[in-house]
Amino acid sequence: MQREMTGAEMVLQALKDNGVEHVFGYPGGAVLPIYDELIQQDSIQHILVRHEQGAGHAAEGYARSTGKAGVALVTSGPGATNMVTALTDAMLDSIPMVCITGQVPTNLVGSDAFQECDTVGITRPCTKHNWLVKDVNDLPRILHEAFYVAQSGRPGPVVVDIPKDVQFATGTYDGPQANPSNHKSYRPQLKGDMNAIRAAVELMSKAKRPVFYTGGGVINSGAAASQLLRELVDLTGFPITSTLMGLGAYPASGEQWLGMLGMHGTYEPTWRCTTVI
Amino acid sequence: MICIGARFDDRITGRLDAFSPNSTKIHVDIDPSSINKIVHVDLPIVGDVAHVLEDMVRIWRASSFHSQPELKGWQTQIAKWRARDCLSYRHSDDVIMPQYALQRLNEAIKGRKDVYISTEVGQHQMWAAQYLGFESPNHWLTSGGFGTMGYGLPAAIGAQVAHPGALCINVAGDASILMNIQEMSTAVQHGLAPKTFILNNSYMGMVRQWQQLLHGNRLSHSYTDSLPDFVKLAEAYGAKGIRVTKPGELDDAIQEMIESPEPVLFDCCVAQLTNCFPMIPSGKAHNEMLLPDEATDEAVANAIDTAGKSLV
Repeated sequence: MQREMTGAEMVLQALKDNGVEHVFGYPGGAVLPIYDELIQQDSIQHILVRHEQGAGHAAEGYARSTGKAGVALVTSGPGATNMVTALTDAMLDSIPMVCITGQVPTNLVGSDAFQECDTVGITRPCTKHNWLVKDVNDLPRILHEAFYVAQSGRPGPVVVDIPKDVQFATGTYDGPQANPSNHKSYRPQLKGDMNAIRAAVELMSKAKRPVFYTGGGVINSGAAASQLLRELVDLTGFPITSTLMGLGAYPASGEQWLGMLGMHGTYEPTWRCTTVI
Repeated sequence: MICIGARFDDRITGRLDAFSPNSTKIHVDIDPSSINKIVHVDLPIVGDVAHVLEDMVRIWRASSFHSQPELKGWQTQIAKWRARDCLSYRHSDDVIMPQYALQRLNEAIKGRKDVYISTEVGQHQMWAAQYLGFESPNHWLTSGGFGTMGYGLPAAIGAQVAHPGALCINVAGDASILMNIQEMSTAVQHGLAPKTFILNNSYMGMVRQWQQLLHGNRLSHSYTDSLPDFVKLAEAYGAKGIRVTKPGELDDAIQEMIESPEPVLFDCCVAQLTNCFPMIPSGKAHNEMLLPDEATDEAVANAIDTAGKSLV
């Protein structure tokens, strides 16, 4: 459905169209148009934090406990730099997060304007992808793409940096594509190579001292992955350990559970991993 | 070794050349750049974990594969290792041991499906991972890779927003909680009631533990004098504060925390000098693990050699 609207309206519409119900944020000069739209609707609830880092980690906690992307909304400059720790945290733990930052108007970009920083430059190494939106007509596509990139493949944080004049400008809004995985370039491989999987299963059936070593990727893959992992452990009878990030994918009360692996892990998996297999 | 959705992080492998050197390794990961990045694997499979596991389960069933008879002996060996009881510690009737506090917390939340645990970063985080049992995915929120102190309280708030009726507990340390304590105000404003369970030992415990391991027990700036009164601090935010200093008071106080309709700062004053074991000292292999009953002052002081000192 195509409609004329402002950039700020597009942000709210795109959030709704991508199933967002909660946004964690902190207002400031460069996001005021978006906040003005936020207060005039009630389908998206805004949680006002006390520091932008809090918004970032709250979005991470939200994402980790639901499997959905967490959304944060902050202003330019210090708003954006205060997000850097949370973005990096989400990057290292593969947490899906969409962070929208305000930016000074396009004609002031690069002029050391009040509360200006090079947000896409600063966040390039700590995001899965980021965008500086220069034309309001690109905004809907970029916002939908942001949700797709954050949540598909190996999940991670993304930043959409929106200059204030783009938030005020009017353009044409398009809804998300019916099938976002038809993206022109980013199509993570979901199905594993069948020959490799067959070879793996055959190796497993011949293993004398096997162990499953699982991590946060099982949790990121969704509830079905944990269910299938439990099934495979039951079928094979193999013992299983997990990293810190993977706890809960296999139940701690399960018969084959060895305890956590790693620097402060338990004796059973760590000892075995090195000396025996 | 069947590695599924994990990335051979340095906190997992310890010394690389001693990490399971003779095993045949299978690695399932959706991110091709994670494969053969740190550890060479024999059989990489790029794909989504759920998709690959589904195929594995189907093929195992259809081919009527079964495990080798040697698996029985393997499990007997594991049972022997288990009997080593590596998470044991000496209980005290006078002072709260941090491990004991978490065991009591675990007892109080056991069987409840609507519990979300977040943590800050440090000793309390590792104890939480060791002593709290996680039965299902998405209920454990922790800063694993980056190790961000200040993560836990806002993360618990985020979980509480998504699950308004659930019990969201942030297991914290006295140092970490101060890094984003201002978010108590957020919780109160939005009628959210996350509970923060502070294992208060007045130290940055993990920093101190490493100073004991690496720097001759010279405790440089890892003790926090002048901590705030967490009960009064909670009240200043319009939340509830609870302080416990004796092991015998724990159960009732934990119950009070759980039943409280407001956010809580739970100041659990624990034994100050307890360290977190087992631990694989940096630069060491897994079989050089320090176990709690072997970690004497001398063993701790000599655990890390010169090469290991430069590692983190």
